[in-house]
Amino acid sequence: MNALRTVALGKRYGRTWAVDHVTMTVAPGDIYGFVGRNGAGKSTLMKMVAGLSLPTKGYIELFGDVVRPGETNSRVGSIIEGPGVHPNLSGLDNVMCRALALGSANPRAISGDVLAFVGLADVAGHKAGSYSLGMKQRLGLALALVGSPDLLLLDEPFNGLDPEGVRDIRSLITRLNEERGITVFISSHVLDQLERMVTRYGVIRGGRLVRELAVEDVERECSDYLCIESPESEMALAVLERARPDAALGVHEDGSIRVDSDLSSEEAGWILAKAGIPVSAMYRHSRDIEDYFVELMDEAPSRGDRAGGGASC
Amino acid sequence: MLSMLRSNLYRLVKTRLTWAYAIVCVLLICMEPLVWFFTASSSASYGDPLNPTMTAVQMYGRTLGSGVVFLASVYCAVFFAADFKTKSIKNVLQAKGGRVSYALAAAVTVLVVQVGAMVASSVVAGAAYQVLGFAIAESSVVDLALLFCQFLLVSTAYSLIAVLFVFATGNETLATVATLVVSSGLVESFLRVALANVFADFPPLRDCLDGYLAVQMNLLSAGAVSDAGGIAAAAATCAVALGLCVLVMKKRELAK
Repeated sequence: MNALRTVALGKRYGRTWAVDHVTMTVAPGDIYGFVGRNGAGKSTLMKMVAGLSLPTKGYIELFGDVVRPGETNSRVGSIIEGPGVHPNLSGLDNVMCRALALGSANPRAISGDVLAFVGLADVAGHKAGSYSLGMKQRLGLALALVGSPDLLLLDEPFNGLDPEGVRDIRSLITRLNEERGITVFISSHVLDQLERMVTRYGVIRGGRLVRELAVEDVERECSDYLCIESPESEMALAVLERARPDAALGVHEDGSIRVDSDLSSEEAGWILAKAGIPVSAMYRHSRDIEDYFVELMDEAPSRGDRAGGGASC
Repeated sequence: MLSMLRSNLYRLVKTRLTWAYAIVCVLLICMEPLVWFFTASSSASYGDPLNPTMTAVQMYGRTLGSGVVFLASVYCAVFFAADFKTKSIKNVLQAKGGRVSYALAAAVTVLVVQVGAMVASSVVAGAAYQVLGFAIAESSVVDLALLFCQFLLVSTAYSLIAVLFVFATGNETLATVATLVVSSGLVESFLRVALANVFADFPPLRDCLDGYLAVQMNLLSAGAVSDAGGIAAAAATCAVALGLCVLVMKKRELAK
């Protein structure tokens, strides 16, 4: 059973599909990084999952149950478009309001617990309006944690935070996932922060989900590898496989050979030269995760990439 | 729904707006007896137990009609608009029943605010008139009960319309202005004049707003209870406004 599943989910504003038939799954225990440019449809999709926005098409399943349009779920906690707090109430009162609304058995104790967890116990009695941006984000996280949710939806939780704030929020998210087993669905532009905690990625572009990748896929795509271009690439591949059976070899769509193991360029050059195979280019390829995602987000949308991450990299 | 109501009442007690509203109400309520006290020519004109100038029904009518229940509608509009303005509505919607529960809890909160305002105002007014030495003639329990019930119906209808404006617009300023215009009876008066002129020869439409909320409020302020038709109209308005509140909440986007 998935924590979250969307099936052909769509949201149209006027003639524009902000979210265009997105089918995706988030497994329990995942930290799912949702990546896309501004206006790609990340927040719109999250709002629909949280029940704040009504889908035009498709449906959402939360923990195996189909959710009616606009229906909210107490197993979901969220920070979407900021934490949403009453500035004239204290941090504690804000959390108390949510705890009471959710029918918590002991709202004051629960409110104290979540505020302590996010490190706001000392300022719980202060007006929320006086909190810094980082404290407000932590208060938002505390609000989301009331009711012990199984799924957290976090929309740009690092926005406007200083480096220390970013680190604090990241470590809180990681702790929630590891200690409480909470599934996290997080959208962010801060790719290097996502890289440190995410287990799966989804890339959205123009409202369409263009890729879903496990963290291993991303690591493989972004890892250094040796690239060999030869007019006789099939022969070259066979020679290299025979000479170094332990080497991890592959062929790109353009026919170039990809060597992922510790085979050095010198050794590969010698092997091919001895076999009399011409080499037109040989270079070590390295790619930054940011470059990789920017590439994915920028690719021109094609007709065939609708719904669900089937394309290969 | 009850859990959301508890949450609303908690915020109601904690928010400064409630206390600001309470202070303004006390000033409004005390103003009339004070003005009357200082401008009366002699104590006999107001303090003669044998010749009281006002009945209890009139006193409570003047008190509640002095703007207390009108301000309660504005208070309700501002109170619920804060949920939309701060976007904190998304924090409470995960409760059981979601959007429908939120709308129903808002309606019950409106009722609680109106009952609280009426009871507190009546107590304060009773004390103020007594302290200043006014002699108030007793009214029958039935008359008093009818007065309070009708005040509650009319004021709740206005407050539910205010909440409907909030749900429909999500905008504090728009909703407050609309509430001011509607709850003060301006819209109704304008429509009555317009209908009287446009449909002068067609009584069903010309007179359709006769005895409606604003007219009832005027009568109640003078201590007069209207007929059953007026009460039914107020009750029907409450029911329709509540239904629309639920419908709008179910269908509206809560984040754009």
